[in-house]
Amino acid sequence: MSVLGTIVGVVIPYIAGFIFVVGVIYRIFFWSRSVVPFKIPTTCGQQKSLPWLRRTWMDRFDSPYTNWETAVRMLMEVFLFRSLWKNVRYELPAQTAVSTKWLWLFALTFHWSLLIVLIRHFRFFLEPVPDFVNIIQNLDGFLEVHIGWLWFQLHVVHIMITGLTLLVALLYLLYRRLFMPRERSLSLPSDYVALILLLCVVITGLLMRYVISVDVAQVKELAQGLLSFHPPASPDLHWLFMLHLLFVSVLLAYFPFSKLMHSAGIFFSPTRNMPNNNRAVRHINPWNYPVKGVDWDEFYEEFKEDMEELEQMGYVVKPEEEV
Amino acid sequence: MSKTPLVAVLLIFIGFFFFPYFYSVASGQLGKPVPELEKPKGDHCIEDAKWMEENHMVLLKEWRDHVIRQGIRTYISDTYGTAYNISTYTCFECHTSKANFCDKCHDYTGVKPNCWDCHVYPELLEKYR
Repeated sequence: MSVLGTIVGVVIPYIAGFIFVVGVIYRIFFWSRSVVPFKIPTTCGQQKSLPWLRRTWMDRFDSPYTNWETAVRMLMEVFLFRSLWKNVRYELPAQTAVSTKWLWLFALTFHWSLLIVLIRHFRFFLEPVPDFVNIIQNLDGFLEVHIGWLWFQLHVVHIMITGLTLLVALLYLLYRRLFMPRERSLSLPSDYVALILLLCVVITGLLMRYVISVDVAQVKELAQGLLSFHPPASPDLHWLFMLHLLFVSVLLAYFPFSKLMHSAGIFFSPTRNMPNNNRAVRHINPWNYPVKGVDWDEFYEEFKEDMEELEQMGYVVKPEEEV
Repeated sequence: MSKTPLVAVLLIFIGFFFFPYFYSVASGQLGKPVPELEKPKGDHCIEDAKWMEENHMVLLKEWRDHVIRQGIRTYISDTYGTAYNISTYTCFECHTSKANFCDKCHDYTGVKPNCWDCHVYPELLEKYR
């Protein structure tokens, strides 16, 4: 286990972490430099217009006019997935659009569960374990259960709800791509890779939590060693934890190249992060090449003869002098 | 593109993923190893010590069920074959302190067992004896 332990426990996590941090920062800066030629917010509400046009308070966030309204809209997008909430399916016999909230429900469940699970993992990286992690852990584990058969004894008394909802939501997201015809036809391998990698991480994590117990003190020691850049020479930990760590490392290394970058990409979406104030504020296209203008006097000088001819025919050529 | 999204994403990214590093540096306990436990009194634990490190909670749960639900008061060790009286007091015979033994690892890893909601622990026993 020693050489393998060093590779899986120290070398691969560092390489993966390096790829993750550098890759994500590179892509963030790359995206921030991209050109936005037009102001293209997609809106779902009445835009700010003439004062007598009725505009509800929700319209202000669905068709934001100021920067802070745009910020609120972004927050609702990030935390509540409002654009998924508006997901509709077209029913052929009835010829109507039926709202379908399943994707919204499971996507939201998945992302919130993942966030809480990540925060719970802070107990391995933070020393001493701060109160907010303990509080989240207590709230998450408020269900106390008894599961015990002859062959299987749950070694914990508290079920962590988010771990299980994470698994259920992921399974639904995979089910939807596998068994719903339209979703299946537009799924690419990269969609499945992300889902399956996440599933591997979640399943190994849940196995460790509920079935095969691992010495978590040693896990924390390794995490602290990695964090302080003084890793143990050859960590000798449980194989299941090593597998979990390996999957997480692969996921981290894959992250910057994958669709998982949507986590940063949402902030760079011009359809979401721009206020809908086209009529009030001019958007300058950065692609506009500099135009050398010609003013009226220069124009008149250049075509003087033609102009005078026109003037003699009775047309008004020169603008009237302002008094 | 305006630089606002870049700043926001960088703040979130660094704030979330580098928070553990900054926090541990600030608390001055970066890279803290597993705390040293008080050496228990006896020769060996009820089961193999390595197994106990990972699975003591399984044993304790099993004991709880044996006593409370089935009324079994003796436990035969798988490893050593000796009989033990199922009671937290059996543990206390060797592990004489909660603060210097249990709590050390539990605090280190943020584990909050609910044993002591009901059960007495050695320090409390000492105090009220």
